[in-house]
Amino acid sequence: MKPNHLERSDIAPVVLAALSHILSMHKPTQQIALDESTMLVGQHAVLDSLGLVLFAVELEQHLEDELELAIVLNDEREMTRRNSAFSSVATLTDFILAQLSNTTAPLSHG
Amino acid sequence: MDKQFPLALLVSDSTIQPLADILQASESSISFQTRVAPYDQVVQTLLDTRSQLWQPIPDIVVVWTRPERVVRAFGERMRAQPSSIETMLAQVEEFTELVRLAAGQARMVLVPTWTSPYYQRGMGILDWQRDNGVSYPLARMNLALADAFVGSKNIFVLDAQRWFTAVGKRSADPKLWFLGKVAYGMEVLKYAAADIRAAWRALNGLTRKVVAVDLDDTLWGGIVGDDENIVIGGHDPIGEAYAQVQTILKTYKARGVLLTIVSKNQESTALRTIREHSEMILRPDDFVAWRINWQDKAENIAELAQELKLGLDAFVFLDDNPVERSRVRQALPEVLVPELPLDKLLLPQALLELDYFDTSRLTDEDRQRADLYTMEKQRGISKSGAGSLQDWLMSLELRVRVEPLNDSNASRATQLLNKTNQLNLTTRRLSETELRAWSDEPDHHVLVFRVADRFGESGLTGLASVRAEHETAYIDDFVLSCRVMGRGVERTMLCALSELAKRAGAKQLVAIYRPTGRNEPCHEFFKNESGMSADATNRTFRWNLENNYPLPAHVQLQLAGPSPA
Repeated sequence: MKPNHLERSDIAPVVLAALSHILSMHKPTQQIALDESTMLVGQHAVLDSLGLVLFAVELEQHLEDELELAIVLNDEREMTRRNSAFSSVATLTDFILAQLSNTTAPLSHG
Repeated sequence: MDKQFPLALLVSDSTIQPLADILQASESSISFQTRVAPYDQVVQTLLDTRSQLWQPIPDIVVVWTRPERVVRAFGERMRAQPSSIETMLAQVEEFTELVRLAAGQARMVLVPTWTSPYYQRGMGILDWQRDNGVSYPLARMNLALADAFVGSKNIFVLDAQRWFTAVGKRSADPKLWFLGKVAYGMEVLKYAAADIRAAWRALNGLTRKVVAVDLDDTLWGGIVGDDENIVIGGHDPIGEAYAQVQTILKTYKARGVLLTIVSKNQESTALRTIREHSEMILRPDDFVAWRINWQDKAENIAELAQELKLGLDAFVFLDDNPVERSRVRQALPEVLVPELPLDKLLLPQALLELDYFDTSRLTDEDRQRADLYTMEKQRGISKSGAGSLQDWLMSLELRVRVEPLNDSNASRATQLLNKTNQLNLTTRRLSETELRAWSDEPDHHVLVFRVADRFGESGLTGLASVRAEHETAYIDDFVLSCRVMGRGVERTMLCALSELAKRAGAKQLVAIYRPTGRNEPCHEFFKNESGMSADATNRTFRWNLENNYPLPAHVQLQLAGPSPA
């Protein structure tokens, strides 16, 4: 599926909503302000490794439910790679947009 | 309701940390502290109850396993290898024995049923065949699991299949499994957490006891007095939905929940409808009290709480009107006010989903509770017609029967201990196993009290325990149901305790009041009516056992069973 009409402004809120949903359950005792600069992995990340897995699957479901996008995000190599697409909300949004513009692009750049 | 932080130990053969995270959530009135046993070490964890994981003793242990992991023969059946039902059931028994042993180290153990994800088709049309299928043995294994814990006081099986059904296809996501060994979808875990919280409330007497229901557009469709015909029953989808609403409320009543009405109507018109409408399922006798008038509903609920001698935190308020719901929430935050759907066809579902009426036992007293309150109402009428209080008490022909704690009364006694808030000296909460263990200690005694009068039996409504130390007998529990407060039963209990303490060799009987914010009536009794001498703090009360504690003149005391001393 390649819905060309989708913009960054369509994708980023879905990423943030999925992240918020997972954090509300996975880190229920923390109050974390979320925006596109929020780091997902690495130093200052809001997610641990299990949280990242939960988030990836949750985001796939949100993209499917809200934007009818079938995108595969749960690539373990991508999640753990240096400079991973999962570094921040912004990089992940870029990654999803890139997937949309080139559906044949490999998920992992390594 | 005070916030609670019970300790939960989670034991699983999949990654169960996400459930621990949800249970820690702070928005709920119960926020669990959690411990997670190492991944896939179910047997080791259940066997080694001396390990750090079990210290201090957890309040709740959740043992959530995958069937193919616990029951190896079932795993073979899933792979279409020959394996017998008998072997599977024997392996279920091995597992349940482990759970039973571990249950001695926890207040409550919860075991979710075994489930299979929707995409597991097993053997297709052969799947429900005994010798070939996967669904058939899974059902038998779950039944064996449930049967194994029949009679257990602190092991309960939770219906995980309901969580799977509610969530649908995302109840088990293979991606979560392969990436993180998470066997259950996040939404399933939320349902599980809700049931675990409900179980905790049930164990600790935080169960709601009263429904206060609005009438128009809540108990029936339309406005009585305005609309020509209110909608209930008949060949009408909305009418059928309201008939089901009433059936559900009647079912709650049979489980021990008291039904009341709080509604803005003309009382005579509303009661005539309840009494005479041919399609009504609930009749006036089904309600223990009502406030049908044009006053503020919050004030009416507060009045009902006083009339029924129950706290506001015992109430659930059902009203279709969001303004009324908001008003009651704001004025009486202790009252539970669930959102109700705009679509009336969904009203029965909303009522069935309420999880605030769960109890850890269902006793005869529960089933008869509404009748007991009706008797109480008759007593009230008799009281208003009597002259002095003493005349009224004499007219009741009150009989109090004392029994030591035993097999036949322990279940109800535990329930009373855990549910009673107002006339409760220390508000000590114990599971049945803990209460029995405490009672079996040397120099510990637990008495229970059954109350009856000329209007009928009030049932097992009192519990008291003493612990003798040298020449002092300490009252550790002094609990009386609000249903029988203020009739001299309190002093009768002290009389029985003082006799017991004297026979145990004590020279004085001591009660130390522990305030909880809800047990002031107990303090009032000890200060003003017990006749015991108070110390300077006004919280420790003593009775010199050289003096006989007087039995109230209007009470006939009956002793049952062997002498407890």
